[in-house]
Amino acid sequence: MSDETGASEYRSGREGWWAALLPGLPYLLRRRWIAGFGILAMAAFLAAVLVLGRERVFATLAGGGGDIDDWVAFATLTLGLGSLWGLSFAALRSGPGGDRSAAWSQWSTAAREFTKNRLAVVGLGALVVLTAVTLLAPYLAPYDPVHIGDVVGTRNLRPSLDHLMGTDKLGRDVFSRVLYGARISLAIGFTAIAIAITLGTAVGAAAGYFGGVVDAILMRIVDVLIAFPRLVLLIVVVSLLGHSVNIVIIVLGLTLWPSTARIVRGEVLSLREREFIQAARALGFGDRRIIARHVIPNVMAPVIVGATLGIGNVILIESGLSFLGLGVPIDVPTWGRILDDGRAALLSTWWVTTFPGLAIVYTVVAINLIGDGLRDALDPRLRM
Amino acid sequence: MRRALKLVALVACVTACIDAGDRSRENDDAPVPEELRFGGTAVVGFLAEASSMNEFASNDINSDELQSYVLFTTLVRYDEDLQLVPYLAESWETTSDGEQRTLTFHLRHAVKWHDGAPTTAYDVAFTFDRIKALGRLFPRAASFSNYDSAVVQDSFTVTFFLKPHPGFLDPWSFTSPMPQHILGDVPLAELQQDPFGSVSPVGNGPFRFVEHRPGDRWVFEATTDFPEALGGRPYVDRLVYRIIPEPTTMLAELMSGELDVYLGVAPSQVEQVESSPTARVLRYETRIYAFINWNARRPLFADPAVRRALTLGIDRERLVEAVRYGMGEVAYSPLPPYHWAHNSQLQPLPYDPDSARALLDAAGWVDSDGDGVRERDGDRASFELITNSNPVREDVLEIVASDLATVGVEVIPRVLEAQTLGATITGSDRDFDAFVLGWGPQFEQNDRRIFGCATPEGLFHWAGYCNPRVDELLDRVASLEDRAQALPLWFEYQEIIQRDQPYTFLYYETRAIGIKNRLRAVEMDVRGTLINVNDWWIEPGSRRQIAASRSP
Amino acid sequence: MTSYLLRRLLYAVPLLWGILTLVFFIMHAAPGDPSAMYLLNPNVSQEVVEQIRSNWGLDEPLAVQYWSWLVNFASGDFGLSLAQQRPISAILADRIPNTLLLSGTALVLIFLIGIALGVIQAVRQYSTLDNVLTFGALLIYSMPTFWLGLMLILIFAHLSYQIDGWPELLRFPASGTTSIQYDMLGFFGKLGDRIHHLILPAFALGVGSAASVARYTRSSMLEVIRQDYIRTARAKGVPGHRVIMKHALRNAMLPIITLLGLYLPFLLSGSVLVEYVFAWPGMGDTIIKAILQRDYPLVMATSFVFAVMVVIGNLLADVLYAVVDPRIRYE
Repeated sequence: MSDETGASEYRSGREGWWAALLPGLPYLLRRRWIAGFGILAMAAFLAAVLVLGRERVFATLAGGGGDIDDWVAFATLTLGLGSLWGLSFAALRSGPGGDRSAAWSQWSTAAREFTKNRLAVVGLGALVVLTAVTLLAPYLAPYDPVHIGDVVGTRNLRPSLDHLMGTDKLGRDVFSRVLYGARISLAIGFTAIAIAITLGTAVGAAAGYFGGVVDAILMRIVDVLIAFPRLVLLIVVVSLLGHSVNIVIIVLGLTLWPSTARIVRGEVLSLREREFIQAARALGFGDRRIIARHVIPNVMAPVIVGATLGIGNVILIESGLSFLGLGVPIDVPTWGRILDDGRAALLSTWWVTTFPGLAIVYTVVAINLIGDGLRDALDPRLRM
Repeated sequence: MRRALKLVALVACVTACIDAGDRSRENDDAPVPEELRFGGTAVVGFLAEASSMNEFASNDINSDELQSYVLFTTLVRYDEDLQLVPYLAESWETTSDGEQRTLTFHLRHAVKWHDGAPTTAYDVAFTFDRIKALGRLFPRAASFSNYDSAVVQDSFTVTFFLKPHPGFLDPWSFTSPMPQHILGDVPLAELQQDPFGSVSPVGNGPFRFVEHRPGDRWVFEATTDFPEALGGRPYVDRLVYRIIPEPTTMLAELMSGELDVYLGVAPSQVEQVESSPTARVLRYETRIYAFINWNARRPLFADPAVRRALTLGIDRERLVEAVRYGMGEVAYSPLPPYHWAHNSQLQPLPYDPDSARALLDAAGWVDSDGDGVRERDGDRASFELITNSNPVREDVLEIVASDLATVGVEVIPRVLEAQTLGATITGSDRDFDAFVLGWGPQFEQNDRRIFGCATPEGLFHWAGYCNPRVDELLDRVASLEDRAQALPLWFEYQEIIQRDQPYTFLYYETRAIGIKNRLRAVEMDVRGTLINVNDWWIEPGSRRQIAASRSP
Repeated sequence: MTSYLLRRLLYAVPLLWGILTLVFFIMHAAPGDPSAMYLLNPNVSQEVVEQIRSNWGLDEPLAVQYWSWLVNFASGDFGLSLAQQRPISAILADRIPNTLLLSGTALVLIFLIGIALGVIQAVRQYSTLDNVLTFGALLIYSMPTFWLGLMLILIFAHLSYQIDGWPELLRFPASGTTSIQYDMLGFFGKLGDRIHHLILPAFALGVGSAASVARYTRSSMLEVIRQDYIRTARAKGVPGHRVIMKHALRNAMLPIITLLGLYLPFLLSGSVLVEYVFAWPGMGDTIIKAILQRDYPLVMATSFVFAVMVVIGNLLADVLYAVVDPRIRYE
């Protein structure tokens, strides 16, 4: 940023380039309060982590930690701060009116529409914060989430300044566990949904596009799977293949695709008769090309909305599985797992079960707000 | 009806008040006259269902206890010193003739089935014959494997012919005669599924059956004419068994007063029950010991020195404190302390990580690549420790993993669902490293199925342990009736097991029961949870009021 | 309509067969078999386990087991629960009413609360009340059902008894369907007792879905309110609440009613955890235990019941659609 030639460009805005030194200031100057304060708060948070957690950051750099987790956290910290500044400079550059010059594609309409929805933006902000916190867990967590100490003196401690969320029955810090648990719970949510929508979209598109026998067969399979007691499948597969995070992800992914397939099929059925598809067919394009280039992009809106809402759902299901003792391995702290650890003693050590539960609620609320925002933004028919 | 009950109660008192002092042991501070103790409903909460009241079919401990102490009567019982004493049988005698022995029971005359028919020797013989006819379909068939036949002498005398073996009376302490006049005509193939077990059982015990709502509750009612000789009419009018699978729900129900007894309070809940002004905790010793089984077929566990090192590397004192909140004793022998042959001269191996490291070094397991985990010939000292989903055992895995990590052994804790665990560790390929389980055998133990060298391998040979001397010792104690002669053999057996460490014994389990203060005189011990259910009584002022709201 | 229903029911047969066949093979692929419930019992010997295995036909080839199951099942014989040693028809007769009672109550709760809130929100669109309700509904919708159940127990069945002066009306039992003294109560006492026991589990089960019904109702109402005929009605001077209740609500109900059928399967799977937490002796509790014990015949029968309820739910959705919207005709 001390680059003179670069700096001269920024002067084209109303204020000097120095305004971007404080992340978010350019936005504030443009009266875009939410974005401005959001960026400012985020930057302050990252800076605070950098200052307060400097010992661990230095340890990472010195190679003392050596753990991949630490490097992820370090990268998050530096890239996060970097991109916040980057955003501010970009705002300077784009001039007072915002990105007027940008191309008005369908997606940027949607993005504008999305940012108009206050709640959705709040949800997105909440999720960004959560993701940052998750990735920064090694710098933020005051204790090792799996370390079992002396137990008798350290277990079941009430929430206090030392242990923000108290300690569990083996003396582990619940706050640290919830922080680390976030990454696994979120990872399970995102990956399982990725599997589900990929499979669901493919099957739904094929069924809707080809129709006839293919449709009949695929949809009967979908019917069976939707009416199938999912719990049976989960229990059997988990006990057959053993407990591991990957198994849980795959099983959830494989049981959640039918509803996506149904939505996509419905969309495709109506698309199939539309002019541009007919035109593509008349031009002699192959089925695969038509599906990939023309059909799928046009059904993505409901799929993305469904997927977003589905992530929340997966997080809830994972916690239910852990509750039944069928979730991830016991040494992996997911939210469901932590919650389950405190279950028997809920009436006395309520904090062990309450805080991870609240973390789930926080996340699912954020995701649902985003999902609603996306629905309004992407699908004009559903705009409320 | 109520008046009739009172009358019976008074009559009962005339005869029973003599030993009232004995019955009110727990209640010295607030003497309540005998006749005021009758009445009220006691509600007991279970975590799991009692499947059936049919002796021929049931297979779970809850059903067994309800059969033996509530609905039916056994011929003999263990007293608090674990001596067999008469119960339904007034007396018995044996004759011996080399390979053949007779055992004759004289039954009491006054015991009636709840439909009015007398309980006779025919019922006993019928029960025995059906058990033999069911053969291996009877879950506890092995208990009667040395019994040959039964002959009814007269209505109240029955004689059994059997091969002499130690503890030959033991099966009659947990087998209750079933009513022949009800089940006699049921074909053998339908005996185990007969509605008798769940819908319409008729017993002869201190309580009669009222209702069973599967998955919800069993309701029993006091037998008003239950003979004095067997303990007389129970004090409580009704005994309800509720099934509540979730521990938190159970605790809430105990605290709010919906339950009087919560069987199996989780260790982490004990403190809360204790701190409640309206409830107390009763701790009692059980027959259960928890252990880690090392699969000696695996290179890591083949060497006794390594198994010993692993035991030395686990701080079992801390483990008992951490996972059971102190409810248990560090274990070291397959015969728990209650057992007459328990070798109390042995001491549990101490927690000694330094010796553990030295033993592992000596056995060739050294951490040469500096990753914190030892290895030998390319094998890493890393293994999966499995158990079933049970919160306490899950904690055991985590503690063991954290302890063994400090001596350079990596433990990967894995929880399997119970049936999968069972199939894995009993499967013929024995595809596992080590597991944690609890084991609670009957009083007569048969350890050959666990530690004997068997070909082909039996279900319980999960340790893969074989020591010819152990086989010899176990074979001899299985035929020695004289305890004085058997004792040194049992002691030697325990010493060998201590040396070889096929298992790491973790702890002898003490359990906790939460009891509402209004329910008095509850006792439990190694024999079970219902041993004195007849004597339970409820403070007259705090009995459940019909149609009133719940009393806390 | 009748022929349409018949066709749908006929179509359900192969669907159910497909589901059950899948369950059968998946279940048999899982490690362990019903005899495994004897495996970890110190008092059962190996011979017993082997004998039981052969007696239950578990050592026969899978195809043979499948065929004999199919033949029995098709002839209406659910068989015997291996774990409970009772006829499955008796077990189902015990459990289905409990589950229907719980799900039914939850369903009523879902629609009563959901529609009421949705209408209020639509009428007061963008007001503070609307925002508060939207957010509150979302909050509840985002809670894991079992966690909500545990929290309800913590507050209403535990703390409520510890705190003096807590209104007696807001103290609830934590478990079961009836009290201990149920049999001794009069008719109204029994009714009250049952309702008392139903409230917490039905709330835990239904409240999340009520939140989503509220969301649907709100948007559906808003759409209808903008329609011309509503404006016409208003212009003609029909009072505001009458417009809402009579004209708008009826039309806004159309998409909502179809949800009724779709929530049924959702409730059933939710009931598994809720029944466990509240010790409610229903189907959810049964299917979990059956699966854990590898009680094959019981797993098949409970899966069948669940699948049938799902099919009925879907059918119900379609039929209700036709009832509410006269334009729709099924031929």
